[in-house]
Amino acid sequence: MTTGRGAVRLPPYAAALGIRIDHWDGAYPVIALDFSTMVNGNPKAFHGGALGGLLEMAAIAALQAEVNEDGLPPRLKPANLTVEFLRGAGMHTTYARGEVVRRGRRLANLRAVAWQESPDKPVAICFTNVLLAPHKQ
Amino acid sequence: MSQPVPPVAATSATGDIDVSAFGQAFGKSGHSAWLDIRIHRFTAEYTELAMDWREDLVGDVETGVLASGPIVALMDSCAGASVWMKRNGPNVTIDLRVDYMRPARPRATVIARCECYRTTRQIAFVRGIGYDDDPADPLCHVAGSFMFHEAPGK
Repeated sequence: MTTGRGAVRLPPYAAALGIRIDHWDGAYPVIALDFSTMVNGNPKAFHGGALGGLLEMAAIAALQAEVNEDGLPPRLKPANLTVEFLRGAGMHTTYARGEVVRRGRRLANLRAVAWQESPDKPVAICFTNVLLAPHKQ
Repeated sequence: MSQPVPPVAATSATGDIDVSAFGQAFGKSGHSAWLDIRIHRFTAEYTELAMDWREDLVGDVETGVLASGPIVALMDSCAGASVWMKRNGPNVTIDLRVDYMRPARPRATVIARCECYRTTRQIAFVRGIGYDDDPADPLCHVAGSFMFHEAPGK
């Protein structure tokens, strides 16, 4: 997946789930995932894992938007992540936007927010630390 | 390279919790079904769920390593199930932390093992691991907290 703004390439998992870039907000993309049986948890709400996956993709996309501008992008290896579930996420399209809080040479500290009706009412948030690794030879 | 782990018949060591009812309802639809997450084993101490590697769940095409999302979904499902085994009835995730010790091995089935080690009136605390070959060599550790749907009776 390539856009004119940086080169955000979401992995097969994102495509399989139906995650798409909806629009750009500043330097970072806002990604979206429509509700479907594929993401349904119980009862009639997003599964926490699907929200976690969406948030992780938002964080990775934000990081890609930054690092992929500098030539050969590094491999991104998640070291850990924390997801907090704030509200039930019903049967509506869910949006998520990641943010690079700090990017060092080896490690990036990211966060992401997911919402449905309004960014002021987040349904879940995520903090994740991602290693920037060189490509295998 | 790991071989897919054959499913193990669910057996209950949890006393009054109806494992078969949980098993019948679990993974038949929705996100768990899409990921093909299934019950692997129940013991008195922990609950195990399993998820096979799949090409469309990959997060790094160069290595074939699973994306974090499916792992989070597997661990969240297993952690929630372990709470269910401790106190019958639905619960919701408050938060979940996953620490990756190493990448999941490409093409290996991932097994989640979670233990609900403490419940209070309203909150349940869970710890667990994800592994492929050997529980002594986990690919991740998790910690989570859950809230019961129904407030306890007075």
